[in-house]
Amino acid sequence: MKNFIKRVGRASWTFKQSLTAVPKDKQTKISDLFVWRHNDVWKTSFELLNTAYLFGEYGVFQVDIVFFDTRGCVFFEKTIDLSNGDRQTLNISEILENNFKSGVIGGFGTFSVFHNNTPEIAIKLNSFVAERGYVSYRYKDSLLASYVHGNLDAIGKNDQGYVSLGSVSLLKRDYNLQYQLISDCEYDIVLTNPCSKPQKVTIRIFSFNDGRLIEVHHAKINSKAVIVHTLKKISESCRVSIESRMIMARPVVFIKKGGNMDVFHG
Amino acid sequence: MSYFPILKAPHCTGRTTLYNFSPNNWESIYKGSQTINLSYTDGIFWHSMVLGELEYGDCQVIKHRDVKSLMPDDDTLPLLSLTQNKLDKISKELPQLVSNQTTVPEYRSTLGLVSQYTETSYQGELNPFPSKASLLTFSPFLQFTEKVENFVLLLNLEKQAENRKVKVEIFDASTKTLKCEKTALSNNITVISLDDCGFSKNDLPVVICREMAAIPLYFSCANQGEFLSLEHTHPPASLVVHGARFGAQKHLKDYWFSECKGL
Repeated sequence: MKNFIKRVGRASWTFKQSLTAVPKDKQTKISDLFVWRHNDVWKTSFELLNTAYLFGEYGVFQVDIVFFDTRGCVFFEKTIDLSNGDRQTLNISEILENNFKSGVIGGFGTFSVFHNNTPEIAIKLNSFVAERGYVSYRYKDSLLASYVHGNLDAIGKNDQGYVSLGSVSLLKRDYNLQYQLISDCEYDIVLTNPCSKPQKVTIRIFSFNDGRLIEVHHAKINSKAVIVHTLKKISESCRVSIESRMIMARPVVFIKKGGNMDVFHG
Repeated sequence: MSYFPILKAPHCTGRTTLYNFSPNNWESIYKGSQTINLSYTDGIFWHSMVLGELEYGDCQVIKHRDVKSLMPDDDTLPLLSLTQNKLDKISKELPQLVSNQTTVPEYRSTLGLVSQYTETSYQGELNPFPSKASLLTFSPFLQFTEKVENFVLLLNLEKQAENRKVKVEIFDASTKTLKCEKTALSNNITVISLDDCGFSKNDLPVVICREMAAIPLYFSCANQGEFLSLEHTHPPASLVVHGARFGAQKHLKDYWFSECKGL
């Protein structure tokens, strides 16, 4: 009886609440929702790998790249030829700069990369080709770019268009970032929405000294969109907790100190 | 049962932050103070000792210099853990940890590298790999600006205390030619320079280790530590999702291991 109650209790968190839904259309290509940042101080690049080539297939392969603005609306799509076995660094900022005035598109948004070819072995294994690759950000005049990998198979593309693959939880979930924020840095907490509907999020900052709630921020993120919440003046060692109905509201965190920047995934 | 290593890299020292609270509110964990342990291998036995206690809800930063004097030498990998059980002081196999574990997300610590100018980190943990495992990673992380150094840091942990010496081969993905050959140690973090392999900015390095698995961390450093960058690659299975995706990983390893011929 005890086990049954335990199982029922757990089911309220797990039943039909997978991190990434399985697309009904087997031809669906899947990508993370990557974050682009582009303005006077931020530049973004993406490392494109030829997945089909890595699986041992030869041919002319392409990716479709789609850009979403801060409202989650598509504002630009582009098809890019892949090279076989070479490193291909896409200068995302240059693509945006060449096609738009930065004032029109704002300073950040999301993008996804869909490989047009699903390798034979992936089809046999009932798998979907996925892009969870590597974004790099350059801040101010830094000599180095900082890399962060994708972490969520968030969105699919098929003949019907773009499909959000993030599930919604029955109950509100807390994502407690296991990270210590310190007082001499500035932080950007960046969250995307892989679900099909807008999601409300509450970002709470708690003190490590006494567990006190220091700050609360409420926001709504449209489907496929992103929010950037900046923590400027932290007075003490603290941590971030994010409440939402997303299965895993895992943020990308940018840490800025002087001319230096680091980025990581929660 | 994750361990949390203290990393090392050129121009930097390691710093790991441990957390005693759950990363979510729905997977139940033990909500009490836990013991902070240090474990290391001398190549024959695992040695463990208690460093302190961490209250529930708190965090603790542990630097390499805090544990340096407790280990035989600077080349030994310090492994931290947060447990409810007491670890054997000496053991032939890596101690079993009774510790908090979650899956969505996984229980993590902050694994950082600190230079005299700045710092970089990623959220990570280290679980023992089977000794009969291998590594395949494609790395698009090399940076080619002036005064930049590029490294791959191979982080390995196995149950047996032995420090196995294994071959690491680094190929060019396009030509599949061997660019350089290095060695790595099990139960350690092996720092491999990628600057003497002859890669240019359009090359995609393929790092292969046929005898050992590892977490491949790519580390770049400019002006002897003025700027730092650190990130790991995904395992090859991440190129696909759903279905029998580890079959895809096997396919990738079989293909690249047969295509890339070593010396």
